[in-house]
Amino acid sequence: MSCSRNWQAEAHVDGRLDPSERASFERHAEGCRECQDELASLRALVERIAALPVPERTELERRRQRTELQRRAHQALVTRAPATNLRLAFAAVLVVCLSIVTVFALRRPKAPAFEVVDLAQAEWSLESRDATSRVKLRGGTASFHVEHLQGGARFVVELPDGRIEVRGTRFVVNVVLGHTRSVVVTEGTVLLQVPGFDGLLQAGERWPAVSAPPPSASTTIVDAAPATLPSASIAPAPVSSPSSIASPSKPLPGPRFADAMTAFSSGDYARADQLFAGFVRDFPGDARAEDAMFLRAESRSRLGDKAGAALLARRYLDSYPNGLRRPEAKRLAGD
Amino acid sequence: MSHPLPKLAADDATLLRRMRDGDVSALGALFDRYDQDVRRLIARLGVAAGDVDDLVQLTFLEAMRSAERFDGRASARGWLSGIAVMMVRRHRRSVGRLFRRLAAWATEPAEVAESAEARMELAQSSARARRALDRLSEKKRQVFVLVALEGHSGEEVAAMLAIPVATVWTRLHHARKELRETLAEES
Repeated sequence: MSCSRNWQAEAHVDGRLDPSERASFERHAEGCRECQDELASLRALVERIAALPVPERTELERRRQRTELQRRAHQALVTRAPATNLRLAFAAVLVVCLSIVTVFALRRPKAPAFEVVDLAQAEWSLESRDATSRVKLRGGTASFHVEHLQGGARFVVELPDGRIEVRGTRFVVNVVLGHTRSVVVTEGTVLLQVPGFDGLLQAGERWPAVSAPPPSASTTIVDAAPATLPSASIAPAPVSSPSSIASPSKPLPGPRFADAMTAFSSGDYARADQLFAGFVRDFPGDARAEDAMFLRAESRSRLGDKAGAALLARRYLDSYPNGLRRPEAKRLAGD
Repeated sequence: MSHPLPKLAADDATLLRRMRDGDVSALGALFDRYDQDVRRLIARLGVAAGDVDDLVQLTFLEAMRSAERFDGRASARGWLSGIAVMMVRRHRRSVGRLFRRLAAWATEPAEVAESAEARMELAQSSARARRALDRLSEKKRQVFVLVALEGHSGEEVAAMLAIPVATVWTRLHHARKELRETLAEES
């Protein structure tokens, strides 16, 4: 090899020369036999290897493979795939163990700061476990102010007949004789579960739709909140009727799920959220209930309601600890 | 009488979004679009003929599972190629494959006998090219196939293989060098 520019032939073929270098090399190659031979040799090498045959397949075989692929994908969506690869299963267990050790060693989610105001003979007690703070409200009326939660922190109010989970909010709860009478949200979003209602309440909303305003009373502060708390970034939602989800006209789960998917696919996420909520409520044992629960969270996220999405995602993770949508749910939950 | 408007084919980003939402028909559409490319890539990466279609299935199943991680680029071809490369790598490391390779090695017939039929010269040339490609290390072979044969850019391949772009060019250079030397020896 005697041409000092021969090395540029590869760079030219690879597209690594800038425009001026490329033009310069091409002018040079026009008069250089050695570089022309090198370019031809590089092209011939690719052509020879590219000509190697690929295993043959008929159109019928291709269609069968397509059908089989879709069947396997559908199966994976509705069931958990059993671990058939022992090596992968072992590696997964190892990764989980290491992750648990790492999480505990390096990072503990901070316990949320919150304030409880006793408005009328509130009977409540505090139970904190690491980053999950639980307040049991047995009776009376109490106002809650919860600082915006970080990482894996959670705040739950246990009611005699249900529960409330929040992401950073202000709300008032009234419990009488073991029954939750009202929940009023003034800031943020809560996920409320009581008999007859399972859904999100945004700032400005209340459950049930009409309720007497709570009386005022003394204040009890727990785990003193910082001087400045982040204000709720969630705009008040239009007052709706949270306790009333449109009665389904189709009783069977298949058409109900299909309707919800249609709403989701067409971008009507508010309706999709309602329909998925109804599906989960009416068909909790259906194989698609897991998807429906996750898609509720995704619908809220696409509506811009990140706090609501996080709450619903957290519920999905609790309900399906090994669920297929776990990675996506963790992302929505902010973990 | 009005005719219905022709249905526009969804672009790759739309298909991936639908797959993320659990739409299996979108997976079928993606398979129609790129099955040939993925199949050819996997075969060129040296997977035995009997395993190619299985790995194609695994590639598209993985695409369904990780659809949310698609970055929304115009064409999913490069993304799918990256998944296919990963599937081939896993396949090579599987215990089962090791046993199959050992069994195939123990019973492999002489290629000369197989190519001794009509068009012997073309068949022998093809066999030499196959052997030259097979002799490349996995890393050099990946880069040569992805860049030189499949036409992916150096930056795309660097992202697929999680290596610096400069490493892509270095491996490609050595792959070409080895292929030429091997083919020159055999002829």
